[in-house]
Amino acid sequence: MMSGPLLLLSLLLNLNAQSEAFDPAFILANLEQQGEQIQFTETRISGLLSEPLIVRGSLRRSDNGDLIRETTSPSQETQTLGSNFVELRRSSGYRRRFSLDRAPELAALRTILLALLDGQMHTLSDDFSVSGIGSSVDWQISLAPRRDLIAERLDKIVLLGQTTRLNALVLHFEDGSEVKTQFDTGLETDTEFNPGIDAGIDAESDAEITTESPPSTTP
Amino acid sequence: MNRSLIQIAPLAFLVGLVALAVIALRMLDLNYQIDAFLPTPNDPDQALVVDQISSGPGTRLILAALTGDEPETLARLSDDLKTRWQDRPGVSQVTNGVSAPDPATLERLMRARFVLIDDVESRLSSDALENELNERLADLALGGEQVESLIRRDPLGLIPELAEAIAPASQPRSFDGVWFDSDLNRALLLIETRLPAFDSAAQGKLVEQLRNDFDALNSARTDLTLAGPAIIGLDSAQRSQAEAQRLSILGSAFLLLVLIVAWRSLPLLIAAALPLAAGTVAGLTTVALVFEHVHGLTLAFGFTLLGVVLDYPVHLFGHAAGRRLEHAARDIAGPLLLGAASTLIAYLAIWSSTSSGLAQLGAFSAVGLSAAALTTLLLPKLGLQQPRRLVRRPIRTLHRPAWVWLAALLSLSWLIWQGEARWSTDLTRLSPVDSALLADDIELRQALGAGTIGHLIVLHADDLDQVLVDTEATVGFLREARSDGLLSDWQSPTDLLPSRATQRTRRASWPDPELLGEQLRVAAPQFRPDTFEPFLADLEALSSLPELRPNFWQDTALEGRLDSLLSQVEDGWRALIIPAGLDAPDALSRFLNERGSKGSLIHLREVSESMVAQYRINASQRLLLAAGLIVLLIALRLGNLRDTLAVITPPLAAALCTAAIMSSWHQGLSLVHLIGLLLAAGIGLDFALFNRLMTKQDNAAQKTHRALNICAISTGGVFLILGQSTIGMLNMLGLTVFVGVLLSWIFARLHGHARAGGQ
Repeated sequence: MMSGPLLLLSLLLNLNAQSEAFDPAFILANLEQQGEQIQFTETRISGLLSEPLIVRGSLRRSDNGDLIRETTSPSQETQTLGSNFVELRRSSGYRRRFSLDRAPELAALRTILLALLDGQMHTLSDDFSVSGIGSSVDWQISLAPRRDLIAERLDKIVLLGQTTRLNALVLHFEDGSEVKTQFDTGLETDTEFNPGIDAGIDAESDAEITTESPPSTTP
Repeated sequence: MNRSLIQIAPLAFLVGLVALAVIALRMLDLNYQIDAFLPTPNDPDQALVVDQISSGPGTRLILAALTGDEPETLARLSDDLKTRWQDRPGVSQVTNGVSAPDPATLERLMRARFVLIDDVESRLSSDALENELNERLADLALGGEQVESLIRRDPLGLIPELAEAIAPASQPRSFDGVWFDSDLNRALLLIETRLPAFDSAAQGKLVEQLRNDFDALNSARTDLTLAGPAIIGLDSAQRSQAEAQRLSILGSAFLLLVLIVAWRSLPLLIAAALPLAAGTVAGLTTVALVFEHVHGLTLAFGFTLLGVVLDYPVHLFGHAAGRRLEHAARDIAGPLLLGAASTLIAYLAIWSSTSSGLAQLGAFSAVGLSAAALTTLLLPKLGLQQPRRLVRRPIRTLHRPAWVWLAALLSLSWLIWQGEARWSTDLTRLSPVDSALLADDIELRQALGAGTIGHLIVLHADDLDQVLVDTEATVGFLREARSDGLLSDWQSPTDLLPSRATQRTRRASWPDPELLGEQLRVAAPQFRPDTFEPFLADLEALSSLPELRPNFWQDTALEGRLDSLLSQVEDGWRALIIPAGLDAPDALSRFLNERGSKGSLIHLREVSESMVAQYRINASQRLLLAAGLIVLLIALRLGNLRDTLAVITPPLAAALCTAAIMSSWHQGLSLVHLIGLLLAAGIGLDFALFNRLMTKQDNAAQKTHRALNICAISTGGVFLILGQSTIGMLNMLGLTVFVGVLLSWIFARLHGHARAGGQ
């Protein structure tokens, strides 16, 4: 039979072990590399639409380090995210290019997705302050942008994953709206996007996690 | 007492003349229109060319380039500058890349879009609506608040389409949404001003403001280059002033030095300035009285042409050495008045020119020259002391007339062999533009793809609506021509201002807002029913939108665009269509003719070149006639052919040689060279007259040679100094006169009297 102090010590050690296992930096550093191309499904909520807009496509890195985002739905479109610009091309011949300064959220997204494609997620702490909740098996890591320009537009980006796998990414905008990108990891996950409640949280995750970020509203 | 009066008489006279000059200058209404020295246009095409050069759309542009840092930094600086510059008074638009129109322009476009867009029916078919709304869904896939509000107001994407149609046909390379040159070394911006092209004061203030804004934002590493006609005009005004001042101080100091060494007398020195001063006052008064506006350049060139009179007192005092001035005046009156009369004929020929600038120049110089010649002969009345006697030296003459003839023949052959290359047909060389700035301008224009507009389709009609109807018809033909590959794009005033009939048709094609709302709902059920309310409200407001007139675009970024393409001219209205991607202009011209288009394709450069050629032929005819009259006058006065030939050969040979030299040195002769040649020939004729008529006795010959040496050194030297200018025009003029005077002096000596002692 264990004495009281010993029990306490064991609990403390156990807690310590648990929190070590859920070191966000450790998780980011050990994420599985996703291959050269990642399929994604993005869910956007817009006040203009009666239902969320589902965007499907793939992500890859071009030879010169740009991020290429090719969508197949709702339309064929290639978005090239360069170091400071984004260029859109549609099958209709439409072509447009603008500065990433005008779309800072895309700049943040580009940083994260390139790190993901390169297996360099641990470098994200340069641009974001990283915090996490959950367990090493089922976690969510919150990235708060350090650059003012991005922070003005984007509250945080939440990464949702299990063990070494990243399942989804949610952009939380300053105005309360959210966009969720789910990666096709080949596994069934139940991280279905439900705009009514906090987007980043599994329905089955524990209470401690759900209280981490307050519910947000969509316009 | 009497003696001291005599001492101050020339000074008092001079002060009086300066006072008169100030009064005359106050009467003058000076302007700095660049077109004053351009030929008077003979037909509408030529009028258009002159318009384009003096106040065309290009003249309101300032081109800016940022260099010296990484493209990312330059792009950010470019955006920051755009924001600041946009708010400066006098700026109508700053463009630095492909960007959305400013809010005021966007609002005006929103109101007008329903009448600016054609094929309304086909856009509203259910398939077209569905396609268009799918595009809006794709826009939403990248999201953003701005995107959402634009979609609410413009679900059919009319605004991006209009913005593209209005944007220049060829765009420079873009980095980070900002214009760059092809090597990404320079970020490029285009500033469109509202200021009159040659209002130097206002332009100067604006440019200073632009530079201050740059300095406030700049991180020391970056450089700003500004170019464009406004900058060129400003720079040439400021720099020509500064440089002309510097060079004239240098030139005057040199002249003074030569005359001090020659005469060693202050009263003589002051008296020598009197003929020039009298000539200037007379010239100024004449142009002030005869002409409504006087061009600034007329005065600059006029003073230069009057330089010929600087030699008159030199001849007078030279011949007076050791004698009374009255006697010398009597002696030199013959050759001096003959020389002056000959030069006067040439200046009168310029006076009769159709170009207002040249006519003023001729009037100023002709009257000034006459006054100066008379003043010279009146100088003895001032009771000046006689110049000191010369130490008698043996005369050395070089009688080699064959060399002069040989030089003249060789030069003539060279000029003939060069063919048309001996002339510069570049109209822009007639303006006082610095060549380095012009190079900046050309380079930036090329980098911007703004190019120099080479071809234009021009349409004329009695009234505004007719010219718009004709323009629309021509645009219809251009669409066909585009599908045949004859051109890639164009800018037409009807993009912003359709004809009345077209406006009516388009208005009538839009359905009732309620009906269209229903169509939109059916075409894209994904959108909430109330999404497009703002768009439908705009359509509702169409019924209260008045018919579009040119002033609809007032105070927007598009005002300048429409003004440059559509203008009221003397006999009605003129519309211009600027074609782009035009590889075979002749084919397009035929294409338009065959279809009976009222528009005619003109090649600006060809018209301007033919205009310069015509101008030159006119000027040459006048000068030839003048030359004939001069020869006749000299022959009548001298009474024998031998002397006449001996007098006209040296200046003629010198003019031919100078023309040959300058045409090779400066890649063709321009109007400025011709003015220089005319002056050199006038001075050369004086040299030859004195050399021929005043060297018959040894005593007179020594004085004449000495006077001619002083003239050649002083005049030649002054113009050599002027020739060091970096301003193209001054440089051309200075060097031409210098070479001309030098050769005239040498040829006059070689063609002088044969003397036993000298042979």
